[in-house]
Amino acid sequence: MPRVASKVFTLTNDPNSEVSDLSKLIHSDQSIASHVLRIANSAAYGGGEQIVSLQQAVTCLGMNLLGEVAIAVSVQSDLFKAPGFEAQITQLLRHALASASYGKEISRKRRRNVEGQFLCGLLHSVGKPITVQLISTITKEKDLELDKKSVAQLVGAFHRKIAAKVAVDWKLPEQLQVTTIYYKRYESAPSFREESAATYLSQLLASWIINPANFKVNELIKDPVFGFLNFYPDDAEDLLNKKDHVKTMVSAMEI
Amino acid sequence: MNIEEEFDLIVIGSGPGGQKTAIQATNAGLKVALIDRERKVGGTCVHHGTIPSKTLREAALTITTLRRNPDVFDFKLKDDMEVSTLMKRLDSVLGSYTDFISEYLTSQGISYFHGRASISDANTVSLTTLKGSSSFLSAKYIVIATGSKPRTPSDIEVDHENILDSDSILSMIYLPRSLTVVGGGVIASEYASIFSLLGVKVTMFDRTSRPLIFMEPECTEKFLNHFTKNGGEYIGEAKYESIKWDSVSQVITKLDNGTVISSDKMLVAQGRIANTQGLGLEDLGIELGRNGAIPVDDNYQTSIEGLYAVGDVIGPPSLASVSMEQGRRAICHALGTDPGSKFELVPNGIYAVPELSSVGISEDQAREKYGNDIIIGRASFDEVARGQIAGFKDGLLKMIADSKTLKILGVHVVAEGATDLIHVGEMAILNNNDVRVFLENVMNFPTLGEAYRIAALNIITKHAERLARKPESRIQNLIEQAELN
Ligand SMILES: Cc1cc2nc3c(=O)[nH]c(=O)nc-3n(C[C@H](O)[C@H](O)[C@H](O)COP(=O)(O)OP(=O)(O)OC[C@H]3O[C@@H](n4cnc5c(N)ncnc54)[C@H](O)[C@@H]3O)c2cc1C
Repeated sequence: MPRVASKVFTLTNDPNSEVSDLSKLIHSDQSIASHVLRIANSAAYGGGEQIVSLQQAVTCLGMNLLGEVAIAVSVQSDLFKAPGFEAQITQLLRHALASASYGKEISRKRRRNVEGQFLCGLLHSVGKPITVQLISTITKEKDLELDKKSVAQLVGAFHRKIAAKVAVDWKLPEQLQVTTIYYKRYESAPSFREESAATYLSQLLASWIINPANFKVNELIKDPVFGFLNFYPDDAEDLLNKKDHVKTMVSAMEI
Repeated sequence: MNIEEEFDLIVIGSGPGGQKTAIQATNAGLKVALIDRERKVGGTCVHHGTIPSKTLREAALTITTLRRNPDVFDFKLKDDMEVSTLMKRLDSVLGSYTDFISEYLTSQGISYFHGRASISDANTVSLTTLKGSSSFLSAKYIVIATGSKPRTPSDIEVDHENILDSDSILSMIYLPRSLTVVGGGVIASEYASIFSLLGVKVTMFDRTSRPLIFMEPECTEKFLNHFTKNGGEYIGEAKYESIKWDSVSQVITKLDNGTVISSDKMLVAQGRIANTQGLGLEDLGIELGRNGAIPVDDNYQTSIEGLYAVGDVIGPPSLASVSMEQGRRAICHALGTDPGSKFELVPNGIYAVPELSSVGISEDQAREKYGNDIIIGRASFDEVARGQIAGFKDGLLKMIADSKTLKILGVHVVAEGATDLIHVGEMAILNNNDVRVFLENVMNFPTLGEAYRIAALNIITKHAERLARKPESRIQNLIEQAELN
């Protein structure tokens, strides 16, 4: 049984465990989050309301149903398991979590939907682990060896297309479909333009906290996305100052 | 200091107050600059308040109408209904409204600047752009119309995720199953009744014994009946001891009466504070009042000559309608033109479901002023043909008149359409009319306006009964008066 599945299983069978543990689990993993949304919205589980946020899933489905969905998800979640590439997957997950958490801070500042932006950040890069997983399968099948740089290049080349397909195929909420596809080109998003821009900014700030050496703060702050979101220099600084808070949130969520 | 451009007037803030000020000034031939820190004009009114809440209200009412007429409409709420679906019209409403205002302001020759303003001295405004660069504009007059923002008590952590304020409430992407509303004022009552109409389990609580405590008790009673009939609950005379999100799925509210409320989301509607931070008013020696409000005189001028403030930034009544009129009056004063007589009457309009509206004085105020020399007329909307047709049978129009002159002193309405209907009463009061004006003139039929006729007739009948009455003992008199009123 995959590690996450066994965790869900233990949680749902432990009378002392709480919904909060399960909630934390589904919030903390791209694969679980996206599949929970997919399965919770499927005919089998759909209780009438469309689930567009993880918080809503926790509230509407309750511990038992949520547990069921999470187990179903995590049993299948070897989709994101890429033997030999665990380090990359962990790195990607950390980045997704940081984007999700930063997304919340961005939305809070703009007084826009915080829950929705969490998911946009978490899932914007859902194509990356899938690409890594594909690479892992293919390299194993063909007995190939790829260096880190080539893997990164392949991920860079394919992840957005894959993410776009996944978002549509999995019938993710419209906001997620749009932001996942358009976050880099937020100005040309057909709808949810501000959410796409916030997603772009959240992943940019996530990259910064994960690899601060790659960024110069005074350059970062000049990114036009701040202006697009009507953030003045002090607003931007406020956001950068949330760095430690976001890091703490990310490490609290990592499973 | 390098002055970039000189104007006759600089207006800070593009909400209703700022807009009307700018337009009034350009009409008078002034060269005007309008500054807002947001890219789009409109202020709270357009982006967070009046227009968005009324758009959601319209959607809720449409749904209710469809639900109430199952034999006519084969209606079922879509399973995947999200708040954003209900608000779909909002984007286009806001888009076309802000575009219209922007174009109109430009066509009037008003220069729009996007940036944060602060006041350097009585004639200079410093403007900071999104990129952080600063420039200076100068003018003979400056009008501050920077509005207000939601007030958050320090012991409630508004995270805009689970605990929201009136700015963030409409960003919810789905309808929660349950909502707790902290407060019993206008914004609280509007949203509480709208969400309960949409099927959300709403619990509203406040220190006051009833919501909208400043309105006529008979009207709020009707409102409350309607609200509870729709599944809402009001807990009066209650204070919160703690409000916390449980980190899983519920906001837990503990009240001082021992009640514990658990809900998916919470709306905190605890009043508003003026947007004065960063304006540099302290350096100008302006001392702020309650909730940060800028003190002004009767002409909306601050303690500094030529520096005016209008709208929410000067405190209650905090209405878009009033902000606009204040803006117009400030310019009249600056230019020495006559603004017309001072407005005494401000109608209250509350877009709850059903609407409530009032103008003039309340029964309590009337008793204080006139003792028992008042007569009260009532029209219940089940007597009004249009009310019957439209299904607003539980509405009420209450009219208060001076029993000696029969002059109208106050009108209070609760019913759909109340906010429009009130203007008839407002005009009658402004014109010093007595209630016979509604009997001796013709109004359309069937309209809700018929309620005025019914209430007036009620007053005339009571008046006639009073005149016909034999002198009685004082006690008997009091009893009868109480019954007659
Ligand atoms: C939920 C809700 C419902 C409401 N419903 C009604 C209703 O039905 N009827 C009614 O009459 N009123 C209603 N109101 C109240 C109404 O919205 C306000 O009274 C009105 O918007 C006040 O107008 P204003 O011009 O004073 O300020 P605002 O509309 O608040 O505009 C102020 C502007 O100033 C800008 N600003 C602030 N500081 C600066 C700065 N330093 N530099 C540059 N720009 C700055 C802001 O960005 C903003 O655009 C409602 C309010 C809310 C919140």
